[in-house]
Amino acid sequence: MDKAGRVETSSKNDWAGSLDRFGMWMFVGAETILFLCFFATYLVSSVSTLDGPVPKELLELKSILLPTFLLLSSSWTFYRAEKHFKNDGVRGTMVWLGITLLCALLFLGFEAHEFTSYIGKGYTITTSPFLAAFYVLVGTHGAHVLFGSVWMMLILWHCFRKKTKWTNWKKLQAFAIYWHFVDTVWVFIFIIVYVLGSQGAY
Amino acid sequence: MRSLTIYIVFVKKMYWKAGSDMYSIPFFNTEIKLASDIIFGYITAFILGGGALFFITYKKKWLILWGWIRTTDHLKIGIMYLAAACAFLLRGGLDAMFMRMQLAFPNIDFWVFQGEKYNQMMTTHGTLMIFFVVMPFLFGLMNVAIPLQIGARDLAFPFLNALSFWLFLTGGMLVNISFLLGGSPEAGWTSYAPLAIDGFTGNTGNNFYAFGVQVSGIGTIMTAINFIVTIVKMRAPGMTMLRMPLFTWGSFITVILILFAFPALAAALVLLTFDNILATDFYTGGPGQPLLWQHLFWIFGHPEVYIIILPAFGLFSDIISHFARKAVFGYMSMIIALGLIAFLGFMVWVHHMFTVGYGVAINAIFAISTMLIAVPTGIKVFNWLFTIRGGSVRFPTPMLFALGFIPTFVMGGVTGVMVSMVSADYQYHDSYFVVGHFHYVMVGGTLMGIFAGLYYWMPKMFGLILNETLGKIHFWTFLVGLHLTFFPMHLAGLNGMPRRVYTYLPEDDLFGLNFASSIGAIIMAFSTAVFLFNLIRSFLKKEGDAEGDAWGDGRNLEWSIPSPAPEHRWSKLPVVRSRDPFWAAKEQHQGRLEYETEAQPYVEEGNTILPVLISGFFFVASFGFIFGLHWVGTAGIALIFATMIVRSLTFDKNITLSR
Repeated sequence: MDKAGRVETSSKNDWAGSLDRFGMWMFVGAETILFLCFFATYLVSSVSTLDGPVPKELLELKSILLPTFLLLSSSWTFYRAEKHFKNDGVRGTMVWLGITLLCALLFLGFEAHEFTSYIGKGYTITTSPFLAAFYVLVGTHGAHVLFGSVWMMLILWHCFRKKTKWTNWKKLQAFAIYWHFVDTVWVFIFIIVYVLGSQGAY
Repeated sequence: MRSLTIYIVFVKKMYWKAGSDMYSIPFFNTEIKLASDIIFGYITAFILGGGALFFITYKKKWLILWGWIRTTDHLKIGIMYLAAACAFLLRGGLDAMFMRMQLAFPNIDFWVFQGEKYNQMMTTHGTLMIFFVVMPFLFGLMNVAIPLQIGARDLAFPFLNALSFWLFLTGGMLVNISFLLGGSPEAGWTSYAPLAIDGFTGNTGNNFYAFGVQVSGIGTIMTAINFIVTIVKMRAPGMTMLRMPLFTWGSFITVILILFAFPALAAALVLLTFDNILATDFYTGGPGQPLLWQHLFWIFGHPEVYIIILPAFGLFSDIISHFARKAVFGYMSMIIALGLIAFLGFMVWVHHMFTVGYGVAINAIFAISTMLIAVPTGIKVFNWLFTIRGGSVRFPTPMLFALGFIPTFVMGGVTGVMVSMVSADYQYHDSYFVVGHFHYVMVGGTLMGIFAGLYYWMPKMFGLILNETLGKIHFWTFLVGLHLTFFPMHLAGLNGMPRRVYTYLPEDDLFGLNFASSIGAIIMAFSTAVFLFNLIRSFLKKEGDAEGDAWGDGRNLEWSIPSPAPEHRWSKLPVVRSRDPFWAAKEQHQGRLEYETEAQPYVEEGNTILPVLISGFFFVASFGFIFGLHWVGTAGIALIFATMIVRSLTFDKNITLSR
């Protein structure tokens, strides 16, 4: 039984911000399942390479290290941006957010270069189930980075207009969850697809 | 009347049978074969569409319509969900009638519904009923009732709520228009690969399935997020989790299931779409893995079963406790049972794949986990019975549906345990026994719940109580029709009738059972007609003077506000000090609830056209990809994101902070 008649009053000052954050956490939960399914697809499809390359022939660890470094650093640069928003104001936020955006765009450039070089070799999405699963998994992550980049540009624009600090803080907090999640997914892609794949684990 | 006769004669004379020499119009990458049913469909669509446009113009309702399509209000969105679901129910029911007519006699040809056309009807029936009837009905009831039950002013994200609705409607329209644009999907509602992949089925129908379900699925995930946040964060002061009404609890568990089940479907559909449009090899028989589809689909598909039933469970708990005038028996055990069902629901998906041949160990594990679900479900059934026991029971229509539900659902549950036994399942698998089983739980469980909910909350939506006599006719004919339709299906299955066949031979000894089913289907159609007549009659007569506590004996917060729920539902939020707060207020304070002394500020979302626009662009994008117009598809996607950017830039203008 519940304690009869007791009413807890919660502080409602931050309620809207906390709604956005909580909703974002839920969204990330759903996204986790989506990526889990794509990982599973990749693992079961990577054995059927047909005439195409096997993972070991296709993937190269060396060339992926720099984009990985860039993307993972962007989590830290974004953290700096968030800190500045709380402490000294919006200018530092915009600088660090710009650096984060630059990292993301560079990462996307590397990924585009990687994909086009594979396609140039004739390794397209239709070559084999392995390549199809590879493109879907890594491509979905890339699409998330792209989406995040556009989102960052919008946040930068909102910070530039300096309308209301409250809504910008809300946006920044929701975006933080999304961006760290996208980075975390990359850690798993890096390990499962690139590290294990290039070592010929399957 | 005379023109209708001419019209029917015309259709009959045109092309009675679908044949290969029939006239066909090329349409992008497919062709529209002008069989009589397609012509009939076009003419009906033009008559209905034109009639609707004429009616709106004649009655000068455009402004009102404009207000409704821009709304972000949870009650209005809930009503739109219910209305759209009603329309899809009629389409899905019509498909069912065609199937039952084709199967009524052995070896006959009813109109064109044989072979491919029958497959299209059966696929559309299943897809519509699951994704576009039952789910939106439940979302509609959740939208109407949950904010009122927990004392919230609206959902946490009203814009997202509107977007969810319009995405669902877009998906539903995609699946529906496929019939007129080159053929419906025809691989069953499970859309098994590689059957659903180009080369096995020759039209664009399965792309309509993939895009329609995908688009509405995106909306469904958003709805789930919305309700989780609303229920966790936006309850009225003192409305603790353990004081929430059980409908809210059932819905809460359901939306958690949606959150973790629907992304699996999204992933599966992405891969299916790629297989069809980009010619990849995820699911193809040779290099691909057809079983991958089955796993991904059922990882979504089995929780989906519980997604559909749990809100109905909660709703019946509320209704039974309301009309037995007694607090629900075993409130805590009800919640624990809901949680257990949800938890186990994720662990049983392979029981749809027993005959795949995974071997004894795996089949045994999944069989046992499946049987375990009977335990929490049994707890709930006994709790309902004990709630009725010793109560002072009244029998208005919602209560009748609740009482009809209990034995019907138990029968569906028992056959469920039967099919969970692996060795026996080799007999039942893909037979009419399974068809009988899931219709008992879907129709006898969820659809009865939906009807009960519609009668129950009609006062909150429109301020009227539907006619009780017609309601009782509706209930009894529906109950009789339901059992007459679906019970013989079990026997037909045991006699060897496989599902998804369009005819059988006289010597199969299945005629009597199938004929009985068809008679039952006609009774159910009559029953639905009574329900519609009841709705229309009530709206025309406008007997809309229901009190706030329309049924009397209301227990929860929604009955403490006027009927229909006014524009600003809670100027001050109620303060809740126990379960069944309105009942407690009646016992202790002559029905006066306690309200917070000072209203807290809250954010209000204004009307906006953007959700409709985004959904429209989803439609354009899907249309482009389905018909191989990739530039149209890409443009559609670009426009979706452009509209989202517009939303980000104009966000502040549409919200107001109220006091």
